[in-house]
Amino acid sequence: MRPRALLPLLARPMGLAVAAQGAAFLLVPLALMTTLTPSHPDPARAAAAALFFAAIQCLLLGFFCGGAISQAARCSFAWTTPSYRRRLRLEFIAAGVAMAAVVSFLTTAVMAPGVLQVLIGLVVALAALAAGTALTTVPEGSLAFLPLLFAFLALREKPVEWVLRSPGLFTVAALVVAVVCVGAAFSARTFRWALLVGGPSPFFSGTIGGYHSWLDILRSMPWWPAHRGRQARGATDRPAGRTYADTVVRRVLASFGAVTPSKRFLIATMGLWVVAYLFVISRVITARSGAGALDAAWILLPMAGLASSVRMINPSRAALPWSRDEHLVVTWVRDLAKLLWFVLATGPLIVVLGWACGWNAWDSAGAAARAIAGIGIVFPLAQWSTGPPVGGSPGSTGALYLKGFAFTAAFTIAPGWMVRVFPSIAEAAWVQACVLGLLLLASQALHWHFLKRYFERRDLVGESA
Amino acid sequence: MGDPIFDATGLSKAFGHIDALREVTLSLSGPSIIGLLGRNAAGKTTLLRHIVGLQLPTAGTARTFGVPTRILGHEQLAKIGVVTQTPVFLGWMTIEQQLRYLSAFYPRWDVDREAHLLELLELDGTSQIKALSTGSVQKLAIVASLCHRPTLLLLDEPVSNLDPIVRDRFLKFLLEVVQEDAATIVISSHVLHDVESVVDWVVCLNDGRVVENAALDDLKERYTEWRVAARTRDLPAHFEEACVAHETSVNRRTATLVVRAAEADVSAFRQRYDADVEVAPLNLQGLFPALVHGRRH
Repeated sequence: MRPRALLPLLARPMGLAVAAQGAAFLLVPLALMTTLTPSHPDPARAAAAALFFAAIQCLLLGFFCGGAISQAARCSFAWTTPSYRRRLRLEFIAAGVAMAAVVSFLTTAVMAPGVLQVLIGLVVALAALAAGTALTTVPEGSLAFLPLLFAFLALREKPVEWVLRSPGLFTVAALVVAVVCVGAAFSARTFRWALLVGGPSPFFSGTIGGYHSWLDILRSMPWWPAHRGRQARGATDRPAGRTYADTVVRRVLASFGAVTPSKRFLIATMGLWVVAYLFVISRVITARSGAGALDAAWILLPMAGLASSVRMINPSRAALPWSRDEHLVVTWVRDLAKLLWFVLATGPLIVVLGWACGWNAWDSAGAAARAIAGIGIVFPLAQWSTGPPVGGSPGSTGALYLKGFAFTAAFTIAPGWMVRVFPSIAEAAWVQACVLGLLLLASQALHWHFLKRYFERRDLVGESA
Repeated sequence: MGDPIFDATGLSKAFGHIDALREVTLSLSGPSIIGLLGRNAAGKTTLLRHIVGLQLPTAGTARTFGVPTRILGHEQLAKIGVVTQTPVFLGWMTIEQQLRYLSAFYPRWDVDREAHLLELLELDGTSQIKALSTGSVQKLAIVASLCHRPTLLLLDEPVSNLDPIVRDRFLKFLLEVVQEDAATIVISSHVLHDVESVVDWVVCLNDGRVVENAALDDLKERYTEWRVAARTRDLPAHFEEACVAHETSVNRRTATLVVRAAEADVSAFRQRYDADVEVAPLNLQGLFPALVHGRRH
């Protein structure tokens, strides 16, 4: 019997759901574009859209493939099963070429018909697929993900210009990227690391860096309060002289997990993240004046929100001898702290950059503020999308997938809705502020309500495994 | 024993400032069942990982089936079976699906043995892996490691999560494996009573070093247990005799000692301490403390 390494990993309900979403994500916009595109579109623009679209599609497919491969790589059998890595790599290349061909053909056929475009699209799609896979399997992937994403967004139409200027060189470069990424994703080093690091992590968490890495970096610093608060971990009784609030704060800090000195080098991630953030925002704002603020908010806020809000899986928390009420308070405060962290990290940056770029239109400042508030309102939703509040098993994969999809959609839609639609409903600034404030309070109250119901009814121990 | 299945020369492995293995020189041959013993963090798991090339030496060399572990290929891996301490599988698969998934990669996969093991270990092939208990996952790891009839089987704490009945069945099955497949089995375990019933060779690690590498029967001949009872005067807090490898228990009236038989003079001992001495054979549990830190001469 000929071994099948990769296909069984992808051909399962989760894989089919992702494929369905991918197909919808690909076909619906394509259908819209065919109806909206003028009869003689600008070839450069059409090529740009096609390349961008094909690359995004394949990058997302790559994330899914990488997640499945990473999960298999962390299994006990992955290292010692003969030819396992080789079979995975071969099947990935075969499936990758097929997937990239379909995506590239569909995309370029609609937007920029032509054999050359299809071929270039194929290579770019393959490179993006391999890059997406490598980012979710190679140890350094979590470090490289955000900087690369920002670079990708910052470059915008530049790659298209390069393609038009020297298509041969660009294609060769994309091929090199594909070869390097495939090599890295299936290397012995990657598989050794995967097996030695531990068991598989849920698909929706852990594979993509961001907030987790930030927190790892921060809590590894000697000045981070978790160091001092660690004695409080697991304590049920309040030591004499310590206030209730102090105890909750200490538990919130302790609940973020243990310090891992080996991750100290991840400080680079945070630096790169902030630098990339500054770069992109300033570029967009300076390039397009007022309208750029909206672009920046639309593109960056959901991304920053996603990175900041994903629940940290920390199963050991469930084993702590806390009462259900204590779990409730600590979880709610911790989620609130994450929301404040997000606002503090994004708000001042946008304001300072806007000011530095000569951006003095308060309407635009208001748009950014509304976009941030929009993320803040849907923020608690994220706490439920990646598993129950105490971490661990999130229930059925299908439910998790649907929650994750709904949450991603909400995060993407919220800022846009707040920027575009909301002002037409409430024009006065003070009315907007009041309504947004009330919505923020309501979302927190709802979050508290659901947490309370959860901690009253659920078996906490069963979900700690 | 025949050609070495694994041999290491000056094998060292360091994790930062921690030396997990220190200049280990070792040769394992078969067919036999080798007990890899040692305290926690002695380097047992690290050594097993080096055998399959999962970890690479900081210094020295390691070869499995005569091939440097860095470049173990299809041919060598097909002859190795591994049960790790905390086995991980694809949780969304059933046991049957997982075994079918793995079986395709091996040139010979014994479906009869698979069925026999599933029955022996009381596993339901239709169960989804993520719903299994820790013990059942360990059973699955055992099945997955044995069905391709490996000639080198590495078992890292394989019985720690098994109930006594299944543990007994599994250990008996290992004896069959050695006979049928002429396999070499390296079993790392802290459950010494169970291990003793199957191992014929013992490699003992302490602090990353091999401190003993001998046949179990030889060890039992080399060491013996003295149960000392004072007659008139109290016993000392410690015994200074060079033959005493380990003091299992000592109080004023009685003592239990592990002694090196070759150096021991029981008559002189009785006379010196005015005590009765009962000489008894040692089991692996009794030997273990002497092996890991009984190097007093």
